[in-house]
Parts: sequence; structure tokens; C-alpha cells
Amino acid sequence: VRNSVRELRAARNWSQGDLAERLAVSRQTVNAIENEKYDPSLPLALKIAQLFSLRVEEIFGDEARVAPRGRDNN
Amino acid sequence: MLYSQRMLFNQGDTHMSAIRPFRCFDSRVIVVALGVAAWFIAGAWLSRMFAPASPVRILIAFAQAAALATLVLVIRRSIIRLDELARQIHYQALAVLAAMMVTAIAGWAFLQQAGLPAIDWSFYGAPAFVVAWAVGVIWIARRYE
Repeated sequence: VRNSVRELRAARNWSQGDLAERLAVSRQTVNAIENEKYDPSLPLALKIAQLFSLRVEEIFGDEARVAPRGRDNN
Repeated sequence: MLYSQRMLFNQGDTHMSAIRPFRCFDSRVIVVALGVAAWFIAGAWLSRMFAPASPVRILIAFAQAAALATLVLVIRRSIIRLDELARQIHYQALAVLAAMMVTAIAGWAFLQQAGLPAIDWSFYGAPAFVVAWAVGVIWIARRYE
């Protein structure tokens, strides 16, 4: 599934390690998600959406590339 | 543009990031595994002192099986504590492995009926399982790198 995790992370100046720490997963998992090699579980997708203050479908899916900016830019 | 490109791959980022699913085999698991292996050897040595099918020998066999079950539970707990991607890699490897083991055992049974020598799966099964599991984990982890 396409996703805009990399763009969202970069917009916040976070490294993959920073994001991994916030999500309580390994950096390898973040890397695999960003490279679209791995689709996260629903709980992790919800956690990502909550972290970026977006809905899951705004981050994952065909429309993810269109609107990568979150409502929260912190 | 250059700034944004840099932020995509800033500190700590690597495009080809190696997954480490073997982190679950920590020092605790290794110590338990070595203990179980030692008990297997000791149990085999002790068993020889008693007659086949004697109560003590059967008790030792049960204790060996219990030790193996303990090792399985310890490994399972370690896998559950892994990150979700590493955990999924292990589960996929175990699923492929289960299918391969059933195929290998059933396949060899056919070959045995055709005249090939019998294999003692109680001896070769566990090492074959461990090797195939490790190969499966490495092979499946490559898909996600």
C-alpha cells in the first residue's frame, strides 16, 4: 500500500530512528514501511495516524501522496 | 529541494536497512538452550543405566520432553516481545517451515517404501528444523530490506 510516512516524517525533521522511538518499533520497521515493503498492522497504522494527527486513509492508500501534510506540524 | 532530500535520509537513516529478527535469541534464550542441550546429553547418559521401558527411564524421557517444551515457550516469549515486522518474519518462516517439514517427512516416507534407508527424525528432525528456520528467517527478511 502506498503511504506518505517518509514525507510526513521529513516535514517534522525527524530521523527514522526518532519516528521509530515514538512508535515503539524498530528503525528497520519504519524503513520497510517508508519503502512500501511492509504494510503496518492496524494498531500501528492507527498509531502513525494519531502521531501525525491525520486519518489513516490520508497516510495510507492511493490518495496518500496527494495530501502528505498533517494538521499538526510540530 | 536539497534540504528536503537530506531530511528524507538524515542521521540514522539508511535506504537499505538490515532487519535483525535474530534479536529474539538473546543471552537468556541461549542459556536456556544450552541448559536443555546439557540435560538431553545427561538424560541420554542416565537412561543407559536403567532397563528399557523402566519407570525411571520413562520419567527421564518425560523430563527431556518437558525441557524441550520449556525451550519452545522461552523462544515463543522472546518472539512475542519483538517488533511487529521481525515477529511477522518469524511467523512466516515458521509457516513455510511447517509445510516444508511435513513435505520432507511424508516425501521421505514414500522414498523409504521404495527402498531407501529410514531416517531417524527424532535425531535429525530438531537440527533440520533449526537450520531451516534460520534460513527461512534470513530469506524472508530480505524481502523487507
